[in-house]
Amino acid sequence: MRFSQLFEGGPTPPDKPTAPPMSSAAAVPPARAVPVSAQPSPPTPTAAPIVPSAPFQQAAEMLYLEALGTVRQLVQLASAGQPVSSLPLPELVQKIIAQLDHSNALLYVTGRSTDDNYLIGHIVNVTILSLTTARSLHYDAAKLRGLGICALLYDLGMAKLLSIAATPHKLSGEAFKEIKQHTQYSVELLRSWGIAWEGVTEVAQQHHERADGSGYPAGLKAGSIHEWAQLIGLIDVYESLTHPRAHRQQPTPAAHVIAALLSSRDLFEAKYLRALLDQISLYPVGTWVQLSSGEYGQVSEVTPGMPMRPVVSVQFDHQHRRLPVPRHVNLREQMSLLVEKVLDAEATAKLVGGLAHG
Amino acid sequence: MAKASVAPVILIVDDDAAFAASVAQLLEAQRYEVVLAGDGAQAIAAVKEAKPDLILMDINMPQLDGEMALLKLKGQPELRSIPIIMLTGVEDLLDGHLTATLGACEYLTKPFDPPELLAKIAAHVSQT
Repeated sequence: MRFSQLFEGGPTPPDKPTAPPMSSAAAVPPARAVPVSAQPSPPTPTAAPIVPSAPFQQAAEMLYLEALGTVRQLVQLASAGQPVSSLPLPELVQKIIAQLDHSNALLYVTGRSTDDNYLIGHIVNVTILSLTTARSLHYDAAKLRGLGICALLYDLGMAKLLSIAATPHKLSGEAFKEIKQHTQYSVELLRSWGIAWEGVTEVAQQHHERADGSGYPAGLKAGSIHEWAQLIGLIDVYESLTHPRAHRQQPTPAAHVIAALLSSRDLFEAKYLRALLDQISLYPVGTWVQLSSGEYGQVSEVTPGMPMRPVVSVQFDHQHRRLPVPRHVNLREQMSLLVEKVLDAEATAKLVGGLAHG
Repeated sequence: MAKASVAPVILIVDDDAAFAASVAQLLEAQRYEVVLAGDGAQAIAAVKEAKPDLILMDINMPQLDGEMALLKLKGQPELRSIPIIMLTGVEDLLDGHLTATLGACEYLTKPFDPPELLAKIAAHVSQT
């Protein structure tokens, strides 16, 4: 597949409906009408609310914290080499799937990192973003649940590696050699915990394999790599590059990372790259942008097949004055408007007074 | 066009010009040919011209950081075989993890031990 085919005008129909329901279970508040514009804009054929309503935001925050708590526990147990008594992971994954099914609110919080231990936030973000990306792969409920469980468990070998490094989190030449052992640490840990969910061992072992055989530890090629390992491996790289780290307070904009991933020929299968582009897009939900009109807003929804034309909740005019009511602008319909630029964290904080998500 | 010199070419990618110059001096004394780039974007532009045998890559750089440059270089099949050694002040194990994932072959932190750097380069580049 050519790079250009992955953008507008490519094989994905631009009018494909967004975010098909992932589950009938709904452990989240019901959708409610959200005020949009004082000046009416064309209707948008989407089911999700334009901006997450307060109950959705609150439910997403609570669920995100619950996921962080669960993963923190797993990381601590993995670091200490202790056994687990029970793992309520299917229930947690089901809640995440249900939340994503009904609102984009959870995506607003995945821009965050846990700066006391990046691994914890990384695993939670990879789980949420993998489940989001899988919308385009048309997985049934059982496959989605399996994917989510694997994502929560795939990188716990890094916790062990961090715990045995001479100085935790510090890297030396010798520690670098050890890094490639972490997939084996994950497998041994999962076996010692008696975990037998479908795919967990394969995903832990194979998430650094690459479609062309250039990955590790076994140099497997696409046909031999578990499909969830391919998807999670892609999201693992995407999340790592787009999130803050100790040395990188201004992470690389998603658009740059996705463009680089799309042009990294042969490393990832095209169907996973396409799914990433369709569901995360060049301007992920929660990204603050300036439109070509000069106005500022936050991406509230992406448009599969049209990664440069998200739905934007416009909240500031071109002179940085806050609008009385956010105005919903669907760039798929308002073709004369474009995303002019992405605001970095500093510019966003300046614009919204430090209140922005992510 | 064929290379004018038989000396192996090392591309040093670092925005700290003084540091890059000191590494260059070390390598040139060992009869390596050295090319310099000030950030990841310059490195990608330089690779096609210089055809390096090995790249030394910093992480924290303006324009395009070392991790993004690594992704872009290893994403090109014709460039994928060039060994890339990270030479950086970043000491976090998770960054080592990411660079290993992206295809770096070694990771050295600043300040580095010159014999160790030369040994790691020699392990990937043969001098005839």
